[in-house]
Amino acid sequence: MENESAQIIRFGNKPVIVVRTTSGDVHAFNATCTHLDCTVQFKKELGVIWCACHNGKYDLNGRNISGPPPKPLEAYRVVIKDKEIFVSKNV
Amino acid sequence: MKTVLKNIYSWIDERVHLEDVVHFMGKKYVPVHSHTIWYYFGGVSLFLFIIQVITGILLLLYYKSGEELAFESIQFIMSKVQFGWLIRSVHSWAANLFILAAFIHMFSVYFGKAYRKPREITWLSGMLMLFLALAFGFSGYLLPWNELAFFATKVGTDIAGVVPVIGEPLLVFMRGGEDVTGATLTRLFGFHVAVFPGIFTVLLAIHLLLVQRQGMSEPLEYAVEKNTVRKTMPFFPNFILRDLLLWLIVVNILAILAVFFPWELGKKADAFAPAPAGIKPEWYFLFMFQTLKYIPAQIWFVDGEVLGILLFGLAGLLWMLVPFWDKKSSRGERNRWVNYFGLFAVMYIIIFTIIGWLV
Repeated sequence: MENESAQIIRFGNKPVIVVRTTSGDVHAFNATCTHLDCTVQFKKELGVIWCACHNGKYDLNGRNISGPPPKPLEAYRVVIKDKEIFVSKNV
Repeated sequence: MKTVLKNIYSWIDERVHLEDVVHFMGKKYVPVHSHTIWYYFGGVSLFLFIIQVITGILLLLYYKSGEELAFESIQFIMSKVQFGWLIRSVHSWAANLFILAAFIHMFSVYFGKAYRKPREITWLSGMLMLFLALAFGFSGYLLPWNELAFFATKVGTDIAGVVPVIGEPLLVFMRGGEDVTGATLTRLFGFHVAVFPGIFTVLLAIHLLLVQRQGMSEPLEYAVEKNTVRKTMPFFPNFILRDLLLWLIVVNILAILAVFFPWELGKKADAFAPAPAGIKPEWYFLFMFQTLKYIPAQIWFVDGEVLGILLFGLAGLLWMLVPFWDKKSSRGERNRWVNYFGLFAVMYIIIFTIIGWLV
């Protein structure tokens, strides 16, 4: 996975967005917008996670920073082992 | 041929006394005044509903519900079935025109104060049909199982889910589970082709029966002038023929739209793809969609979306109950506040729809 990119993966029956930042940090969040349930995407040119439905924005730590989302995105645990990314629920 | 028809008529007349109906229709008159044009929009709505029923039945011959079949069956209808693309395009365009005609009809009734006593039940049945028309639009939108429909249904059902107390069970009931899946599609398909048409037909029968029984309402300013001689025209054949002429014009508009702007199918829904940029609901939900964009996440201690939805719900309820709070119009007095409220609603819907369309 390249820096400044993202991918939506299946986590059970939920979409999870895995984002790699400019500095190479990898974060994973529940990709369901906390506003009205649309699936979010990574907007490279703005450096944010964006929801197309109502223009909600989250920073790359999942915090809601603009628009109508009332809560941050739920964060998932990320472990990188031998260049493989493992995503699990935060306990 | 004439004798055969006459014999059939006599056969039915002998049993159900058709003569009474013909006599009733012959005595029925429609008021003629500067606002007569608005009377035709009820008929146009009815005509478009009939088109929806016919084209809907034709689509049902080939449509298959289900996550793995719905999109493919529409592809089949559009590419393999003779005139399938045209039937689907007519169904989609007529749905939009039907809602537009129903909105115009409803606003003309509102501003003409035709809901006033004794036509409260006609108004209520009409409003319930308008809400059902929106529900038809919402449920039918998901049936092609494409990307836009998938997210529109997610947002729409989630909106229902934020209603206090009943929201959560309502969301699960509408979706057939926690998420929008094939179960939601099957459920909304059932509502769209069986439950809603059944309820709509009953309401329509009540509505038409009342219109026939009570006749057309006159605008308030005409109704209060007791001593003026009123112009009227016979319902049959004068008004009916004018109605038919307008229906013919509507068919032409519909044909032009359906042929030159065929309804697109888009991409198949994928629960693991992000919502596409520029996603918008159908135009008749756009003003609410746009409002939800502007409401901040939190207002005092309430979630912005909850407040917005409750306010829309309250406004809709107030609107539906207008015959019961506008007592002045029933007494034949002018009520300016009803006009101001109505004008505000019309302006709000138009402005927010345009902004939603452009932004």
